[in-house]
Amino acid sequence: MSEHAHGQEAAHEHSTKPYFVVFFALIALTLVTVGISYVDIGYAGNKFLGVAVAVVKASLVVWIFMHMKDDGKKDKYLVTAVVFPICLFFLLVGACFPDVVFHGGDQARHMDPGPWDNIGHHADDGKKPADSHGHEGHGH
Amino acid sequence: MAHVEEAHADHPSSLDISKFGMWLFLASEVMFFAGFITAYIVLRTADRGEVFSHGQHGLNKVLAALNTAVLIFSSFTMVMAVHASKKGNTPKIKLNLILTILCGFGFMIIKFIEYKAKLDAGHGPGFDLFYATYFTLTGFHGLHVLAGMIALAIVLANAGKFNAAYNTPVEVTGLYWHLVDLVWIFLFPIVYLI
Repeated sequence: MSEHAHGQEAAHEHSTKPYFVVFFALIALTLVTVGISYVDIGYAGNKFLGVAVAVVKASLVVWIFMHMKDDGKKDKYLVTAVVFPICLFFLLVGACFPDVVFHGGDQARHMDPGPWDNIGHHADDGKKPADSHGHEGHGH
Repeated sequence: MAHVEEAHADHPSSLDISKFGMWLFLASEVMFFAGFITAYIVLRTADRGEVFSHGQHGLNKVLAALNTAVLIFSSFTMVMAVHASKKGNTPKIKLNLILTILCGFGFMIIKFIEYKAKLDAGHGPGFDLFYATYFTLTGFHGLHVLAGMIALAIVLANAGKFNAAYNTPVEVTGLYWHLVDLVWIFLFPIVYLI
């Protein structure tokens, strides 16, 4: 199998330049994420940007470092077999979020925490000023 | 197997079956971490940002950012090792694999410093729900780094065997190592920053 692949690989893999570009892009994006975390652009804004930058970084790794750019073309089943189930999984996980968001997580709050019986331990000791961020996005 | 051979006959450039298998395994790894990340998000939403944002503010962003850079650099050296293996350049394979493994050590040392500071302050996994999820997420990720380092060491021991016609172990281990980097790319902002 590898003998076949070789001819194709050689055509694609001559240059290491994309690796250098992606490396510096990843470092730059890491600095961007850290920078953004020090600026308050709103609860949703900070969360959205943080995850958005992570998605861009992850895509660069998958596309260039993990060679999805070339291998995805070589094997038409790769995307179907790998990316599709992952997307489906996230869709199903996403489907449980409206419950948490619209019910304000009431059920989770009232779950028996078992041995970890100290959720809210710090919230009650008054060390931290009220965090208005935490209350957005809930149904209450 | 018959199906695979057929596919190769039809498409001479079709993917190596081991590589395909590794991708499937990586898909299952994504689900493994996605489950824990989902638990983190659900618990954090239920908590309304009190225990969790307090806990998060206590984490060392700088050490975590440094660790992010270390892992990104290790992904870069890994891809350079794969590149060298396709050229059969043994010294370069060895150099890049050693650099990758050293980055793994560096990551674990920085993680150790971070954990030690937390444990010394009495913030163990049982301290509150934030620390329970923090240690679960970063702990399982750390175990994956260790596993990757062992796999890389085995590839390094066989570095002389790889050439243009045979380099699957380097590529497949590389895919796994990139996934470890990938998971950290998501854990870093979710646990430390936002």
